[in-house]
Amino acid sequence: MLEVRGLVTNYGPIRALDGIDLEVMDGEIVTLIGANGAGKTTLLKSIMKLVKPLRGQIRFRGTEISGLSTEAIVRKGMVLVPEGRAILRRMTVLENLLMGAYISNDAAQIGPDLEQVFARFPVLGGKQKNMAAALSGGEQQMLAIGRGLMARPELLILDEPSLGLAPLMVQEIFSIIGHLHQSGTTILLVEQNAKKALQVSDRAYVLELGSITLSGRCAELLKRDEVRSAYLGESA
Amino acid sequence: MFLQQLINGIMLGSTYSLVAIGYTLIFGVLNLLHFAHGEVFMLGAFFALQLSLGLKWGLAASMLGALIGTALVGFLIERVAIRPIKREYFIAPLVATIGVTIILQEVATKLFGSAPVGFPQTVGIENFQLGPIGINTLQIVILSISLTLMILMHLFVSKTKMGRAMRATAENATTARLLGVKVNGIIIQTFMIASALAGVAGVLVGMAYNTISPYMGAHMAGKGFAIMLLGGLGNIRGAMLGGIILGVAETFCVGYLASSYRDAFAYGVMVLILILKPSGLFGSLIHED
Repeated sequence: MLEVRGLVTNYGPIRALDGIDLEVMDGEIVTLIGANGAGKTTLLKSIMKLVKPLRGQIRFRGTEISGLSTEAIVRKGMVLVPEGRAILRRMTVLENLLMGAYISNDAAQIGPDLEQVFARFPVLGGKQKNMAAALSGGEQQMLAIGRGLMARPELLILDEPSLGLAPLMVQEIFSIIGHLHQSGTTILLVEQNAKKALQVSDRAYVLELGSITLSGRCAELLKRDEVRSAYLGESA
Repeated sequence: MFLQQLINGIMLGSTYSLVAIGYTLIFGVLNLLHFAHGEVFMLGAFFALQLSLGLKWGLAASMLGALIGTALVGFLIERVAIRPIKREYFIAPLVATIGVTIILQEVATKLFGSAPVGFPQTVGIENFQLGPIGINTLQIVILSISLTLMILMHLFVSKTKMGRAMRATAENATTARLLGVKVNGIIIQTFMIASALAGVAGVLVGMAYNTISPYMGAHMAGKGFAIMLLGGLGNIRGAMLGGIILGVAETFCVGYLASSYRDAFAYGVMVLILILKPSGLFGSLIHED
C-alpha cells in the first residue's frame, strides 16, 4: 500500500532522515518506534508533504505521490492523525467530524459514517455540540482518530496517539487501534510506548538518528535484546 | 433623543462592521493586516458611482456591480501582491499591502480626480416617525442591506462546508491541509468575500453621506482595523458587534459631547477597552500554526 524508498530529508542544515526504506502492506498494522528526536514525526511529515524531502520515492497504492501536495495526498486516501491531538479546538465535536469528511463527495455516506464513529466512541456522541477544546485529553484523541476515520482512509497514520494520556486512556486507545485493525483498516503507527505498539502491530521499524536500524515482525523484535534494553526498559 | 442616536449609531456602525469583518477574515486565514482593505472600500463606492452615473444603472444593479468589481479587485490583490510573496518574512506581505494601498489610491485619483465628488441620490427619501424615532428610507435601506449581509455571512461561516473550511484554515492551516482543504483556494475565496463586503460598505457610506473621495479609504481603514482589535483578532462576531459599538459611540459623542471629537472619542473608547481587555471584547482567535 505504502512504499518509501531512499527518503532523505533535511531539517535546516541537519540531516533528519538519511535514506529511509519502509513498507506498509494492505491490511497491516506497522509501527515505527524510536527515541525522541529520531525523526519519526519528520518521516510522517515528509510522507504527507508537510516538509519537503530532498530525494526519495514515495509510492501509494502503486502511484508515485512525492510530487503531490498534502491536500492531494489526503484525497488519495492517506490520512494522518497528527500528534498533540491536533483537533480544531474552536469547533464543536460534530464540526470536527464533518471536517474529517471534507474530502467526501458523497453526502449520503456522511450520516452513516457519523453513526459509526459515535458507535465506536460513545462519549463523542453525547458531546456533539460541545466545543472540542472542552474535551478531556483522551476524548480529544478519540475525536482526532474519529475525524481521521470520517475521511474513510485507505491508510490511517497515527502519530503518538497515546502521548500525554492517563494509563487507563492509553489502554483504551490501544484497544481502539486493535479494533480498527481487525475491521480491516491499514495503519501506520508511530509510538513512544514501544511495548504496547509492538504488541498491537504486525511489523515494526526501529528508527535511530534518521536511519532504520532494525525491522521485522513484532513477535521477533520483542525477543531481541537490543530492543528490550533500548525500548522496553528491560535489562538485557 | 437617546433611541434616535442609538438607531443612527447602529446604522453608521453596521457599515463599519462590514469593513471590519473583511479585516478579521483576512487576518484569520493569513495572519496578515491587509492595509489596502480601505482602498477596496473606496473603490466599491466609485464603481457604483460610475455604474449609476455613466451607465444609468439603478441602485440594486450598481451595488451588485460594485460587489462583483471589488471581489475581482480582492482576487487580483491576492494573486499579485500576496501569494507570490514568501510568508516567512512576515513584514514583506504587510509592506506589499501598503504598496497596493498607495497604487489604488493614486489610480483612483488619476481616474476620478482628487476632489470629493457627489454620490447620486438613489433612494427616494421618505421620513417615518415611529414614536420618538424618526427614520428615513435611506437609513432603512442601509441598515437592512448591511444587517442582511452580516446575517448571511454568519450563516455562511457557521453552517456551510466552505465556511467550516475557512474557520479550520483560520484556526490552523496545517490541520486544514491534513483534512484535504485546499488552503490557497480558501485564501483567495476569503479575499474575494472580504473585498465584496468592503465594496458594498463603500456604496452604503456613499449613499449615507452623498459624497465620496479617493481618500475615504484611509479613514475607514483606521476604523476597520480598530474594530478588529476591539472585537478580537479573527473573531467575526466580534467584528460585527465591534463595528456597531464604535458607530454608537461616535453618534453619542456627536449628540451629547461635540461633533469635532467623534473620532477621538471613538478611538478613546477603543484604547480603554484594549487596556481593560487586550484580547478584545469577544476574544482573540489567533492563528495557531
